[in-house]
Amino acid sequence: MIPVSLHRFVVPLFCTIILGCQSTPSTHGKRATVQQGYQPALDTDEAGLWLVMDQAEQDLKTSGKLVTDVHANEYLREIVCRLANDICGDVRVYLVRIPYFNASMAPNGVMQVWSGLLLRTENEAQLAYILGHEIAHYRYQHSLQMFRQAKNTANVLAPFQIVTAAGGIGYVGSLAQIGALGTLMKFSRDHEREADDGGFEMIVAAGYNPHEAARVWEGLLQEKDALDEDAPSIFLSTHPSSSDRVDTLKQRAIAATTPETGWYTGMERYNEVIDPLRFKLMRDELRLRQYPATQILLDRAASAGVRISEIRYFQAELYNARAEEGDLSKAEAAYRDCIKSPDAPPEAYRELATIYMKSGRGKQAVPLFETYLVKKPDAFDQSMIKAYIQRIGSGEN
Amino acid sequence: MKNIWVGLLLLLSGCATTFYTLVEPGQVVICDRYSVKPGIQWSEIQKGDVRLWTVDGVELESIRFISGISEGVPIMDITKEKHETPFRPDMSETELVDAIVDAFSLSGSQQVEARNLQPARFGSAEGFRFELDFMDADGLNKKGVVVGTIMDEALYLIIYTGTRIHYFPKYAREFEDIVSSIELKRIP
Repeated sequence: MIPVSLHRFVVPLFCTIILGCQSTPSTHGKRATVQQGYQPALDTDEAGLWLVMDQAEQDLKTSGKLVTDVHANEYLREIVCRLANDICGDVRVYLVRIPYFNASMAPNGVMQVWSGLLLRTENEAQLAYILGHEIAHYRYQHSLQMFRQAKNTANVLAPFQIVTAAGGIGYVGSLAQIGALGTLMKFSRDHEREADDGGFEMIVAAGYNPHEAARVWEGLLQEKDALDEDAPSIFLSTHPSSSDRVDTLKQRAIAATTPETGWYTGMERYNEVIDPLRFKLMRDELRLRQYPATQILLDRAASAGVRISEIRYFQAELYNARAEEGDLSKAEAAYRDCIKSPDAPPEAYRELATIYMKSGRGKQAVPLFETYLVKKPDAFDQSMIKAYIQRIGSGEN
Repeated sequence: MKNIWVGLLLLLSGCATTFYTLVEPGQVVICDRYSVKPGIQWSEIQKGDVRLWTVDGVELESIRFISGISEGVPIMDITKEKHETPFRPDMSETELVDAIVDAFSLSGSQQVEARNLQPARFGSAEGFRFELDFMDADGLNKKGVVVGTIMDEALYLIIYTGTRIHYFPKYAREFEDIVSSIELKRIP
């Protein structure tokens, strides 16, 4: 049985297949490319596909999963326009709060960037490489080609089956919404190569440091190895990666001609925009309980200019949540290190105090709880913390 | 022929039917540790150790009784996700709130925010309560109240959720009366 949510998408998809017409995409050189303001002819299967995508975009616009931070959204838009040039106005970017590494482009110009990606790119050049890669999929109409191939092989649900191979389905939410927007489209090797080439050309033309491109894949492969899973992220499921790919990108970066002004990496600007979001994104990451992967993120964060107090806090949170033998004392030490920084998150005081309270060191806990209450006067747990202080005072802890 | 119809009926019911039973007002034993006294009729479905009560339908409002979660068991167990936090008897109330918020998020709820965590009675035992604001997977705005306690190293939760408009307020008073009526059983 098709779930109701999927049904909403599959029915129009079959209707589209029955129409069975072919469009003639415009061409540029040897590749079929999308030109500025491109719209498919109304009597084509592509127009049917766009209609479904447009409906799904309406759902996406009102989704509670959208990250509404103005600066982050403007930043993404700015990078996309720097890369996409003439087709910038045809691409609509949506930042979605899903803690996995993923970016996708639907054939109608809808780009989704999942929040987990922002924890896994370390600077603007790395982010630009991924966005450029996705813009290239759009420019060369790869998802349309995959759709037609699936249709011809009578395997129209294949693009959606990929979702079952990846974790976090609950987080992803509506299959209709995500599937319809092409997120789960697995591209062929040729398409991947073409998107790699296109994305790489875009970042070089925009002056982004091309040496950063390979680092993105290296990070993903590190996480994959650490988790010992075939497909730890949806992006890797749909974008098969390999060490060959990393080597190719490295060689291309060496061969690229450095501009007179030098390459732009954009680490400071990236951190300036992402820092206000990072606390929530890291909390979402920890929810996945994929500790080996999170550990890699924390190790990489230090060299990517992330605030040290935040790294220490989430290192402590990781130990606390993992709760394996010896983790509690590691967490205690990391919280203690964290609160040495004046910009330590208020929650670090609360968590350290909680460890003290649980282990019968109530007197040490009280001043930390009090600091938490002062630093976070609107905390949701003020009443509970005050009750802890009272209990400790009355000798209960 | 008659057997075929019976067989078909059983087959269909086996696929999709959820069996509700009626809960009458008056004392209801929830588990081996406590009972409550609802003031109105509720419809109940039971999934493992979880008892779910509703009047107008679980998507509109429900009270979920989760009883006797022991160490290592996922706190809510409401999703098939491997990520759910397992319960530890030494968890603080704030850690329990985090775990419950995580479970809601993992099950597809969006923008899940906990509010106003405070100490509260759970019958004659010390417990806690907090409120929830969230959107369900379809974007419907909902509210919730969670009341809980840890007794003998096991977790007991009562979770009331409903649509922010109409259904949550409709049974909020009844829910509070049910919580006030909790009577713990004496363990010999």
